[in-house]
Amino acid sequence: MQLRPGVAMAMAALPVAVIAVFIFYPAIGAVLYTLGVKGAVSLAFTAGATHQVFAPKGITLAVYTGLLADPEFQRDMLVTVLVAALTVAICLVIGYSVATFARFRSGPLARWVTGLYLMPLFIPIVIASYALVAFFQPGGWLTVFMYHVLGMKPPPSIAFTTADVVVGEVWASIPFSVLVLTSGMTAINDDWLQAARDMGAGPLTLFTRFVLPLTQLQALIVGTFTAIGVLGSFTVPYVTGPNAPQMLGVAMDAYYGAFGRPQQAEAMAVMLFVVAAIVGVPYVWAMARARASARRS
Amino acid sequence: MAAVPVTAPAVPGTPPRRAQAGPGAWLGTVTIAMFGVFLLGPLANLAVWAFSQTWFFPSALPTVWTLKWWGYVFTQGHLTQAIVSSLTLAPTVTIVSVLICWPAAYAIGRANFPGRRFVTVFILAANAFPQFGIYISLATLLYALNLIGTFPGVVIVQLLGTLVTMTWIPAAAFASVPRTLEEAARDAGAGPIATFLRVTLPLAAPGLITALVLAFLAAFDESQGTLLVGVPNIVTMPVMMYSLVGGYPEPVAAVFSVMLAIPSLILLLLIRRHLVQGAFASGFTLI
Repeated sequence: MQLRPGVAMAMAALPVAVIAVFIFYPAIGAVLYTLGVKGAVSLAFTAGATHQVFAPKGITLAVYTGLLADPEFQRDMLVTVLVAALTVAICLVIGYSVATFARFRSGPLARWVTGLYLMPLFIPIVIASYALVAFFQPGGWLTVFMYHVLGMKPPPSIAFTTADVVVGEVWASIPFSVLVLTSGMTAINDDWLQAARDMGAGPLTLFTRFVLPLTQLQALIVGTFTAIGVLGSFTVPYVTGPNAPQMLGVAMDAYYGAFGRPQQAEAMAVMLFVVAAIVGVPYVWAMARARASARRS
Repeated sequence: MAAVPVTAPAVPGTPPRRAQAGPGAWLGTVTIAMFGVFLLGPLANLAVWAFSQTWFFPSALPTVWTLKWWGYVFTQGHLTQAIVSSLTLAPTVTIVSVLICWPAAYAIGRANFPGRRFVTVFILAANAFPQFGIYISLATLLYALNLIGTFPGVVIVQLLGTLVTMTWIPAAAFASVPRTLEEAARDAGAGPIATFLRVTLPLAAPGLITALVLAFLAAFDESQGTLLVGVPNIVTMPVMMYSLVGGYPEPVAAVFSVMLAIPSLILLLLIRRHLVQGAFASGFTLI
């Protein structure tokens, strides 16, 4: 069906309108609210709020400076960024291992492995988090294993630590990494690899000189979207993490709900968005470059 | 129209390979085996909890097994209510998402129009916001509209999480349908609607089904926004999990987890093949 440009634009406008109304419009109000603008959000919303700062005129950065000077917030922000960075690193290692395996092996084992690695995509994240706590807590299978096989008495437990959070984030992010890297590897030409092999290239050379450079874009996609997902995550750190330091997703929930400080919670969200936007820069840049080179050729 | 010869486009670079020659094969195998345990272990551990009466450390399995927690879940009215909420909300959200996203996906995949790139980037940008920030600010709007704690309010919050997959994956699916097949159908006398229904749609089906399943799961699993916007009237299964953990005997949460995981795992088996073939990843190179 050939669409006229006007019709196509109207069709494409639907999700754009939904996002504009339900994400961008309230987000603008929320940002103004964190800048101390009166009347930026509904009164019903701010009814029970405490610690609110409003500028008598114009805007104020008091909410932000207050948070940035708070050592607890500094620590939470640092932990959030560190967990995201670690998760990305681990996901890339696992993602490349599984994708390479799936690309260069065939048969039932390869199919079984890729199926296994997609599974977390289908397990609700709250269940996965709970299962990880059950697995790691004293009495869980990991401690039972360490007790019987490794002879650790008593066995250590990482339940409710930041390490548990990282494991949970990795668990949840693996399918995306594997899917994107696998699709990148499928596109690698077999003849090139065979030619390189004939010239005497070993597995390591093949990986570093062919697979890695040819899947740069996919690695960037994995890194960017995994990092952004982890930065804003809530369920994994909420269920598996310690009370302090908290990831910002959990801190926001506490500020919004228990502490009755929605203005601070929103300000944290705005700062997280700035971090996420910075993380996204290389991806946007690489996409623009790929498009430009596609146009030239 | 069934006579139109439909041959799938050849996928380049996927002939069967000799097993031993791949780069990093051995290192990969060990890593994979290790992390396979790490993926399955926790879930298996949880599943055993669901049948446990007495279980003391350092026993690897419960000393007394039971089925009583499964019956117990169904005696708790609010638990069954959560199951009903989940099973009505997720399909509703999926249908609404189809109506909103698929026309746009078709336009993005098949037509060149001013602002096409802006639309794809705009939809993606919405996903780059930290989710919790979106949910709180959305809550301010839903308060103003009196939609807090209502079914439509929760549909809106869950819908937001489906927009990217439901636009990008179908757009890539529509874009990949060879135009020549459609033209052949037209030449053979099929009208535009018949061509769409009998040529375009079946060829785009793997991508569309993948998107449908992912959207359903996104809605079914969504807990954070639903918790924030749905309280106190709308409680779904994942939201109920928050209060089950810690608030009930441990096996109850385990039983609930297993029940919540079953529909998802069935869907996994249905679309695994399409996912592996790249229907999912293709969307990310659209912009």
